Amino acid sequence: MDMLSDFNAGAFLLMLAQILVPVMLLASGLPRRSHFSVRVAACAVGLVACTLAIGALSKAVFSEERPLAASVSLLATFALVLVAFLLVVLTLFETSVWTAFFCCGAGYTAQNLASALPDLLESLSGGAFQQLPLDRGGHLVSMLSCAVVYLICYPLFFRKVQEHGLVYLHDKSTLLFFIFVVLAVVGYDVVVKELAGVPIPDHNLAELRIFHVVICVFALFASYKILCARQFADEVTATELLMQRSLKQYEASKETIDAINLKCHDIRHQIRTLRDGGTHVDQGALDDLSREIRIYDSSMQTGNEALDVILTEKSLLCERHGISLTCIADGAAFSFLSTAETYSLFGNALDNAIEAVLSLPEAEDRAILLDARRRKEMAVMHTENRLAGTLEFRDGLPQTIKPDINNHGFGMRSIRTIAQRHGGTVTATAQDGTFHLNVMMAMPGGHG
Amino acid sequence: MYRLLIVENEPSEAQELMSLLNRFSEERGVSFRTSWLKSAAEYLYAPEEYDLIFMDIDLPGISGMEAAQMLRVFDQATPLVFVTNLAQYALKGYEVDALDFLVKPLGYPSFKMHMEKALRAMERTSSESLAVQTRDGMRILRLHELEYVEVRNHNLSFHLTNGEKLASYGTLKGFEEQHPHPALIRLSSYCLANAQNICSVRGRDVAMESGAVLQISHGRKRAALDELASYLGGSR
Repeated sequence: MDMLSDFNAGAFLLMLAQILVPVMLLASGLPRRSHFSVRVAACAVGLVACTLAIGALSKAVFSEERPLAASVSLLATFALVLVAFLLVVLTLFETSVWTAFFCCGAGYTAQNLASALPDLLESLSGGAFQQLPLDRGGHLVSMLSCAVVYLICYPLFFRKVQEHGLVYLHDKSTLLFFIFVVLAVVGYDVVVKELAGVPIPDHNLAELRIFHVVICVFALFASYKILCARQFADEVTATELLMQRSLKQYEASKETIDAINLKCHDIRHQIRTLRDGGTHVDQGALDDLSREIRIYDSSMQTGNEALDVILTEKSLLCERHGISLTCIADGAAFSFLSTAETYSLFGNALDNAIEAVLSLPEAEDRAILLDARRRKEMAVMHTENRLAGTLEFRDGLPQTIKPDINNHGFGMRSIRTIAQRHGGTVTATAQDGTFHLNVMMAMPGGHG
Repeated sequence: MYRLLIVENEPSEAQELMSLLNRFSEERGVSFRTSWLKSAAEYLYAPEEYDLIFMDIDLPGISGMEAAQMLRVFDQATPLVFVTNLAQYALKGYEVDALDFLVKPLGYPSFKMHMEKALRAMERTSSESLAVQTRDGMRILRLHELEYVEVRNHNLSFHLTNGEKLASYGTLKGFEEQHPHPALIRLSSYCLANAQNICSVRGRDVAMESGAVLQISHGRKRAALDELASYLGGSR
């Protein structure tokens, strides 16, 4: 398949189509840009134009007497194709250049794998499986091979990436690594295709082709792992940041709460003394004072210091905003969590609930229920609150309506990270206008 | 039809709760038969069966908490909801396995949310018997007696908490359809477990009360864990 010497626009377009399929499979989960169908049409035109341009260029540049120039131009062509697809993805979807590059690189590699297989079969079968020339059904073989490879790759690679979600990829270093891998795949492909025209021993050609398949598979595997590692690192950073902030808040809260407790205790004592003493005191004023001490009611004593602090803090907040918060909390059940984890888990859960109920139009609807206790050998935290409108779920977690896309649901992700760290699970559901959050973690010790 | 009991010494408070219940009953289309006792002692003296008990924490004589502790000695199943005017007092509700608590003054929307939770709990504790057709005849079980069910080639094996194993014929799907209880969670294509007897879950390992360790299949992992978390959290 000597591409440039005998440039066949049809074959080239076929190759582009074969690359388009996996690229789209990967990018399909990304948010679409406006006027999507118009953009699709524009991309189709663009790709056809690209084909014609490369055709024209190849006729001008290619020359049999300068083989090195030939391979360089071949390499350039493939690089151009990659760039073209990059532009396609960026035109169609709202995403970063790096994410687009990931889709194109992985898609390109998948197509490479698909086109390498018939070549490999030809080598291994000792020429019995002859590649049909393109104008005699060769393209059917090529499409069949693509279909087979993509079908096999779907559960192993494409679906896994889709499940993972393509978050904005920021890390340059790992993506540079990926660029090199893709260029290596491309370069290797060029070398092997050229050698096919050169008289070298068949078994060497076979070895080269085997190796081609191997590095394609490796490249796909590596790209998936890069994606996982990137997202894991992201989550860890986010969680660490939240933890640090949490700890600072915790210290501040604790001091405030200790002070309030002391003050309230004093006042309660004074009230009792005055009442018992029989001195003429304005009973009305005492009643007022008693009512003010409702703030004392916000003081939670669960037997778990970190839990006490976060529950008291949120309880005070709810009191201030007229939100009714009911808590049943067994502090001992959650003692296996660190101070920061406790603060973060309960803090984030309650923050989400508070934010949700504050947007409810009716003040009476603003009620939050927290139930955190042990069920056999598991610690289960359950929160419930009324919801305005509907929630969208992605990855099993609700999407917040926060405008700040970088803080997009970090609270929820932090909750999930903490749960997963203890071998637990987070379940969020919306039923009948009420949001339910359930976090279940196995308590350490015991069997299982 | 659910039988509810209100234990409250102040008639006005009891009246308020009853009107909220009536409103909920009408809107939701569930029927309640509500009784009212003025003290916990009255109840403990001659306890009757109820589907849900509303217990005022602040009772003269025996306090609500103390009454709950005594109640739990002979009745661990009846759902209990405390009614209080200070949220602090009910924080330790888990000690007496209280389902929930209501803080006075009661607003209807907030009350509704708590009643939905109570309704789920009542639905769970009722409809709790299973009929299993074994080779030796029909056997009626209480749900909590069942630990897990396994199947192999249409041979169902019911593992009970007392160590007994019952053999029957059928499919897990058929069993699930006959008994759609939220506590029954499908772990894999050949195993179904009763969440009431699950001790702990770590990754895909489910440790049962009896010590048996069951495995959640890869395909069921997300769904099974979600269902279990929802059940234990009281959302199902």
